[in-house]
Amino acid sequence: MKPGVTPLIEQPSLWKREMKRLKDNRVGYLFIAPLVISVALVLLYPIGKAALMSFQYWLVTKPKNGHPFVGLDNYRELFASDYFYRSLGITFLYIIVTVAARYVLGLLTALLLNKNFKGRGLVRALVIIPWAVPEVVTCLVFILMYDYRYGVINDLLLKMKMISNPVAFLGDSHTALGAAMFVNIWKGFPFAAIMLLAGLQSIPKDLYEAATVDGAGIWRQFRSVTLPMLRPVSVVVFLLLVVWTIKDFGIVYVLTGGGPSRVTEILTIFIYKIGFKTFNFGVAAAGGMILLLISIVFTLIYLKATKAGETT
Amino acid sequence: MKLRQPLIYLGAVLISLFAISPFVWMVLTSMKPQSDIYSSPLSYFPTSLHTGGYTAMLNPHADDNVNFMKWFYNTVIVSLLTTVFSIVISALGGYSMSRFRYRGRMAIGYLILITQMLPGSLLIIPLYIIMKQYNLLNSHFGLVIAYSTVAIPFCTWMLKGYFDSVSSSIDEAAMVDGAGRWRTFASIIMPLTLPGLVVTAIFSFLTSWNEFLFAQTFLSDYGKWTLSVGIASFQGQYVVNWDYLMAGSVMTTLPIVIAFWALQKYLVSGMTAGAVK
Repeated sequence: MKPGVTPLIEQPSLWKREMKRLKDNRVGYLFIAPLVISVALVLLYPIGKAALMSFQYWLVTKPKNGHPFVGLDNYRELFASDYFYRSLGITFLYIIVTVAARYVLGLLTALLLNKNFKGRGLVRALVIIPWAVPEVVTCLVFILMYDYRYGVINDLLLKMKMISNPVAFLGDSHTALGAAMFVNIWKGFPFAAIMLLAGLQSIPKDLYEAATVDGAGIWRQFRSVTLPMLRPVSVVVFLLLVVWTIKDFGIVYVLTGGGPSRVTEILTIFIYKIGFKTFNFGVAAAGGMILLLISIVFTLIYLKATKAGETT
Repeated sequence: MKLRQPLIYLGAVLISLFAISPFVWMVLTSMKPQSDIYSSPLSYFPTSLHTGGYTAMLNPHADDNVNFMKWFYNTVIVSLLTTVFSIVISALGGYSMSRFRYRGRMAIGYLILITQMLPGSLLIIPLYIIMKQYNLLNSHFGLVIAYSTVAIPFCTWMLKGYFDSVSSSIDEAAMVDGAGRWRTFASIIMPLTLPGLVVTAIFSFLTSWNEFLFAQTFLSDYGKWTLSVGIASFQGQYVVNWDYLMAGSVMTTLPIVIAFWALQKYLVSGMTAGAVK
């Protein structure tokens, strides 16, 4: 701006600017309104309803009884059931094993894909296949491959002499949970791999050069450069995996339906069965609230962890 | 360095084999005659090319409650409608969150985050009752509403990231030239973020294409089913025709795998935009 040209005419008064900002913000509200309305109607309202139902008598098969409030009865019924605690244990085991395995396998894949070699593009394209295959289809293919008589996995293991008799992987209560976890790991590791690969690629190259100059070997570089630099992405991946796995339903449901003898009954299946097999919506809603509580705890940890990542 | 090269290739081969073998097994099985599927010792490759599974899938047989083509059509319609709804609402919301500084913006951010944590198995019971009240059970429209709303928060978050990457000085320039907020958004910012819109669209399309829990609970009439529910229903039957099943699986999967490959560059950058900054 040239000196001598007075800017006063162009500068709107504070009042006018404030009005303009308010008017503009109205447009902002207008733009966000559909999101808020749809989330409120289709997500928040049902959650509120579920919270209410968890304190009500709600047996679908006996509509004549109405839905009187029963205090904490539904929760009490839940906590009195041994299967609830078993299911809780199974859920935690399922989360810990599959998240850890997907993370480690994803990290190994990412480290590999971060190297320069011929055919890297092809390997990356192949690695994302499990992510793309629909959940139900994944389960069906594995049901076939796990089959006791005609399954290729039994065939291979027998040929390699790793087992002496065929195993009904999904039908045997010793192997069913492990078999279901394996499917989850197969399906989920590409996501971890792709996210971590992006994280690896954002690490500045000169850090490695400096480390090499300082005489750090490969293992030392991995520990002192790669892992610390990867921490923010790792935190995000790790907690996304945990929260998603808490919600996981389809894989185990289609593979085993929670059986045999309920050894694969993760919390989501436990709740679904109470809801749609015994039609006791009250108890099912109470179980759902517990599940939500677990998710919220992890969300808070997630928020804290990402905040910590931002400040450091 | 030379020594490590073979190790890298070994790793690459192993991880690729691990990733693709179930997929390959599905394709192989879909082309095997039943005698191969149930042969002992197991024959890994089809002894003769068998297309029976595919022709069975392409021709409806009402007596077995199988109508693959109808399910395919249902899934396409539901997924397309979900995509349109969620993209429109998320683009508006994402733009609003990226450009405006009104009160309650943070609260909406937290709202979006919280929706990511809601388990479907908790939502399903109240949703079931509500949908029953409004006659939306067994209807594709009800499913589209549920899917869109579940997809919208994540899509909004992704699109906000894309809008953030476009400098707001472009908006200001457009508005100085006399364009209103709406014009600026629709004819200037939207075209600039086309790749982001494509990724987000693919994401919501995939979500509804693959969804199982809601579809399984809300759709009771087999003519209304989507592919996930339809294909899963084969498995409960006491005679499982694996050639049919795998043919159906291949046809369900192929469009998605092709979409992933075609768009993997965008997909990867879109998924990671929020996490890697």
